[in-house]
Amino acid sequence: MRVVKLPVTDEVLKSMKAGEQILLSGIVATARDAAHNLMLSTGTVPFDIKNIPVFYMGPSPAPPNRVIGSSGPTTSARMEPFIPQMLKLGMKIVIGKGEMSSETRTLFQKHGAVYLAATGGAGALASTKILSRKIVAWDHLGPEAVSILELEELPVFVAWDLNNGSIYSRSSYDPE
Amino acid sequence: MKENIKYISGEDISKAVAALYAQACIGPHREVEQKLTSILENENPGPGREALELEILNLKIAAETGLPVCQDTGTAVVFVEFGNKVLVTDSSLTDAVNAGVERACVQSHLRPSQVFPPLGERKNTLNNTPAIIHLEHVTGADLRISVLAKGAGSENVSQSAMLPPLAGCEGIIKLAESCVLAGASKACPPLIVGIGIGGNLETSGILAKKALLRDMGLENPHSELHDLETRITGILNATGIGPQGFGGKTTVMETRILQLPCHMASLPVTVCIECHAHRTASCVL
Repeated sequence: MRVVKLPVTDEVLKSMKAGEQILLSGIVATARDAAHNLMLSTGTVPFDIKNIPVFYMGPSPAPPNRVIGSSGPTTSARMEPFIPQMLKLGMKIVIGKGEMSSETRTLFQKHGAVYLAATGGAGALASTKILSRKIVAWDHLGPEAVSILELEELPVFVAWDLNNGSIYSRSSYDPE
Repeated sequence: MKENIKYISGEDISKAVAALYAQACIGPHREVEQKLTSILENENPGPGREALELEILNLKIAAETGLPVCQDTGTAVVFVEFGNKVLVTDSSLTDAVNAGVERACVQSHLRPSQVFPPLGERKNTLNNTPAIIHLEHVTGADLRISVLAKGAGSENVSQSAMLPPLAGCEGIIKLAESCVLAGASKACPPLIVGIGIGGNLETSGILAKKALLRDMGLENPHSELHDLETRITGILNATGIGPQGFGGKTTVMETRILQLPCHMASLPVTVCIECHAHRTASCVL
């Protein structure tokens, strides 16, 4: 399994193939529903959206001696109303879970963006792959605050690649 | 008469609820782990199988580190069987349960996910209260408490329907299929499908949720419901949606059905979807 270091070059982005598991290292930003609503209503994105992937995630509180609590992905489909604007602003990588609509998939193709799926429900595992967390905006949102994380080899799956490949298309799945 | 009454303090109930809620969120979850491991043995190579391996690894890491299995430590759904010879002293049952949920949230570092009001500000209550409490008054001197930590990813793809009275098994299968085909990948499969049949609009939902509490591997005592469960699990697994929606043989671990009488003009049904991180714990006071 290969380690992909963030930020990625165009070549690395192109090399990602739907269905492939990769280990992701480097900087990502967390945002969920409330943060997206604030980012787009105030016109302030408190991180470098062109180079930093957006991780749809709101952690449980950090126990003593840990940088973060349980940290698995939330359902990406809830963020779909915000995605067209985020893609226009330059978002290239989304990390979440679950299938999104074909309309959103078309937009990802158009903007050359890749969708990575982390393992939903595997929050304890993800927590052990996070080296640091810093809240950068809207602290009052609690678990929904925008934060910057440093990942070390977080296992994720390429869900939608740049060639219109999808991990969710079952046409390639052979039950026997 | 008085000596037959069992007195239970609100504090004892709070203590029990706090322990159960934390145990449910963190584990160990040996039954689920065993079930996922047996599913893994049967799964073909591919991303679905790889995701299943990560799901199993995650359950082990949670139990070892004391971190919650999933960051969504859910809404605390608390089922209470309240014996008629039990008297709760110095507190209402509701207050005692909520105090327990708050204690678990703070002491065990669970995520507060409840917001109020649901429209507009949606401000976090910061202690994950209120719990949702389902009370059943029964005979006896026991207080049985079951806590289900129910995440929103799976709850959001659940559905209730008031079906025509003669819609039968086919109507129920269709509703389960519609939930799973549209929503399974968002709900972190392999899933447990809880189905409540009968009652009315609100009780079919409670019944579907209560159905989720059945022990893993335990058969439905009603043979016709057991057959329907097997049939639904088979149909949903034939979709090939698989673990995390990445393709595979197992989309559903088990289907669990409960039923109640209903009005002759109705067939209320709720399909309650539960994620692979099935988090529940219970005790008797």
